[in-house]
Amino acid sequence: MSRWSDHLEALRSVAKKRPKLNAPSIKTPAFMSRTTIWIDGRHARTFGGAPMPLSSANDVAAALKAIETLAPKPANLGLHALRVVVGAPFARYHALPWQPLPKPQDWVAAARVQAVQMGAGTEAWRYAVTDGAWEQGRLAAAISEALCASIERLCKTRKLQLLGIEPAYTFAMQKHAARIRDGAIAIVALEETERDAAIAHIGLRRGGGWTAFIALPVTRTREGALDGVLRDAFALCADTPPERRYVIGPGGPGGPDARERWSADAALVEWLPAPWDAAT
Amino acid sequence: MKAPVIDLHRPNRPGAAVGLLALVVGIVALIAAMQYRDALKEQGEALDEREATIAKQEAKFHVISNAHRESGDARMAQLMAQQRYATEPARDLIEGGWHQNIALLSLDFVTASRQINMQFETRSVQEAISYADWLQAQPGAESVAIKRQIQKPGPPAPSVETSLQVTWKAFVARPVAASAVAAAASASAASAASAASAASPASAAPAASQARPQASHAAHPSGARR
Repeated sequence: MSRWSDHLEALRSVAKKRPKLNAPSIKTPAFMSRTTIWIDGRHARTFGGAPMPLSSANDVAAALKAIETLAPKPANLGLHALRVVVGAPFARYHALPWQPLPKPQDWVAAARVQAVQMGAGTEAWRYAVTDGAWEQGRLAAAISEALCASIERLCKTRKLQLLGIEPAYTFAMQKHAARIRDGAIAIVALEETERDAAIAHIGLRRGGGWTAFIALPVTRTREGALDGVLRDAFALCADTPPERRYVIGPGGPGGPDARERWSADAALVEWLPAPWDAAT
Repeated sequence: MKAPVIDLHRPNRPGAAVGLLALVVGIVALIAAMQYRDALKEQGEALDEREATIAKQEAKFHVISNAHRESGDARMAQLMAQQRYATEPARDLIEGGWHQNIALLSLDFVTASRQINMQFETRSVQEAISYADWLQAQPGAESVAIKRQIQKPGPPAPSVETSLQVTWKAFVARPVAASAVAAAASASAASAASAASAASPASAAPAASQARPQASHAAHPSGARR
C-alpha cells in the first residue's frame, strides 16, 4: 500500500516537472488563435488575463459589451476560435427526474416547466440537456437566449470560429472528469463573485444519474462557511449525505490557503482548482 | 467519471465525431470492398485464362483425334475403300478349299455385300457338301448357304452341280504365327497325302476329302479334273 502510494507520488512529481502541452513555450502560428472568455455577473476576462468589471452587474447587454472588447479582432485570415464559458447569473441548471424520453431535446420541455416553477422571468432561455443512460436523471443547463444569439452574431461578423458556449459547471466538471469518481457524490462549483462572496452550484449524483441541483450563495463571514452551505444543501435536496464531495473552486497555485478561506473541514471535501482561476 | 458536455451553441445535438467516424469507416469499407472486388476479378481472369488454355489444348487434341478418325485425307479414304472392297479374302477362301475334283462353273464376287455366288460341279454329293463344310469352318467365312444342287446324269460322267453363296468377313484378324503353322501343316499333309495317293485312286477317296479337303485336293493327281 505504502509502496504503491510512493510510486504514485513519484509519478505525480514527474508529471509536475513535465512541461504542459498548452504551455507558452509552444508557439502557435499567427494564423491560428484560441481564446476562451469567462463571463459572470460581475466581470469578464480571458483565461490568463486580468478581470474586466462589467459596467452594470448581472446585465446581458453589459456582458455582451465586455465580450466584444475581449474577443480577438483577427487582422488576417485564419483559424481563430472563441469559446465562451458562462457563469452564475447567465447560466442556470436544473436536475431533471427520470422520464421515459429518449432524446435530449425531449427533456427541454420538462426543464422549462421546472424553470417556471422556480420563478423564471419572461425572458427567453436556451436549454441543453445532457445525454445519459436509461432511467437516470438528466442535468439541464440554460443560458439566456439573448447572450447566446449575440455571441453567435459577434463570431459571424468577426469571422471567428465559435467552439462553444458552455456553462461553467459542466465546463469545470469536464476539466476534472478524470479526478472525479462516480457514485453517490456531490459536485460543487464555487464561483467567486466578490472577494468574500461566492455562488456554490451543488449537483448531486447517484448511480450515474443526476438526483438534485441547487445553487446557494456563500459568504465568508465566518470560518467554514462552505461546510455550512453544503450541509444545508444536503438537508434540502438529499435524504442521505453523499459519500464524496468534490469542490471545484478558486485554488490555483496558492491552493491550501484558498481552500482554507472557504472550507474549514478540508478532509471532507476534495478540492479541485477551477479552470478559470487556474491561470490567475 | 464521464463528464457531460453541454454546448449551448449547438444544443442537444450529438457530437460530430460519431458521424465523422462513421464516414471514415464507410470510406475505408468502400475502399476495402473495391480492393477485394479487384482481387476477385484478378482471380476470375486467371481462371478464365487457364480455362482458355485448357480449351485450346482440348481443341488441339480434338483435331488430332479427328485426324485419326476421319480425316479429309484422300489417300487414306482410298486405302480404306480398298480394304473394304478387297476381294483378297474371298479369293483366299476359294483357293484354300479348291481341289481338282471341283470344277468351278461360275464365280461371282460381290464386294459391296461381301458375297461369293459360285457354281461348281463335283463327282459326288459328298464332295460338294464337304467343300461347303470346309468353307463354313473357315474363320474368314461368315455364312455359307447351299442354294441349289442338281445331279446330272451326263454322258461323259454323272456329276452334281451345286450353287453356293458364301458371305466372307472383310478383315479377319489372323495371327501371323498361326497362319505359318497352318501353312507348314498343309505342306506336311500334302507330302503325306501324295504318298498315300499313289496307293489309292482319287475317285475312291471321298472320305478323306470330306475330313480334310485341303489335304485331299493336294493328294489327287492333276489329271483328275476335267
